[in-house]
Amino acid sequence: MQTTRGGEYMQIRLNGKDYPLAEQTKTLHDLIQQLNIDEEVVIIEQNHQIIDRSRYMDTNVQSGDVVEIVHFVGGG
Amino acid sequence: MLEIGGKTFASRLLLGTGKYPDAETQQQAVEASETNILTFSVRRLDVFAKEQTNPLAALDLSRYDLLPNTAGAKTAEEAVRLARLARASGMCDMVKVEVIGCDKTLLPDPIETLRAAEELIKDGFIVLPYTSDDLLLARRLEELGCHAIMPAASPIGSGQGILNPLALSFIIEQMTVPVIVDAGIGSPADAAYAMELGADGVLLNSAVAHATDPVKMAQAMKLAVEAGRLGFEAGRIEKKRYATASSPTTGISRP
Repeated sequence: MQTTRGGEYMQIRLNGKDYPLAEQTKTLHDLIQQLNIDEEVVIIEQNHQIIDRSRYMDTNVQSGDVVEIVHFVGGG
Repeated sequence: MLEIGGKTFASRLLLGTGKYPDAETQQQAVEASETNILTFSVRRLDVFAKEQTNPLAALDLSRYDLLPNTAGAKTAEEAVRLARLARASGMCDMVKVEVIGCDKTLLPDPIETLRAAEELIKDGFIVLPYTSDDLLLARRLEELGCHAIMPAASPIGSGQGILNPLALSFIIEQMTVPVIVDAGIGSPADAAYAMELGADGVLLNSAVAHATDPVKMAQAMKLAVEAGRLGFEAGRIEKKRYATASSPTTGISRP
């Protein structure tokens, strides 16, 4: 659900698409929860910086952030 | 034993994890190959899907050394980024540098490959570049500190086998780091041939994944790599123009 903070729409660029942040989504950990994904199998880059898995809880997500969530797939 | 960047591997077959008909076949083929090293790629998770699927879920990755590739990269910068994303998984410190310069042939861009390799070596990776069969490029990559050189036998996924054994053998003879023939292998004969040329290993994916029976082909490739290696170590006979009898030419009994 689209939310505002201080009158501003909270939206990030997630894997190349605009994505609205839920009101309770404050950190990368929250974002993972919102997306319902298994954090053990993903790697996250925020604004071109790889974020260490141990820091998801205390890394804030802000409107306008560019977030890439990747994982391993089959390849040769 | 195959030795890369201080690690040793009993198997000289490196196997890709892409393009199998299903997860179960992939898992059984990996098992049958008895490989120690699996390659895979880094891609966006489909975060917008209702449920995410893990394409490697059937594999117990803890049993293998993982060799992520930088497939998808067209520049050194893109390759370095993909390598760092892969390493951030905490599951690997090796990387197959793959920087494609031509979409039709999937041939590697030599300049970008060299630049990416240099950066990743500085960054502490164990670097295995996918390269063409150019000896001088291989030398440059080795001089940079690459831990293995992986020349193509023929274009990726083409199954054309070894098109230029002479060029490959020049590389094999001159490198001190392992040479792993990567890409283009189509049949067990190709894999055995690569090993007979003296390659330290073979990396393949399509030849197994797209075979009619991938599991059986994985076993065939395992045996081919072993046979080729044994043949290389045993030292083949010289080719001669005319026949040489295998049986004694004297003492022939006649009625």
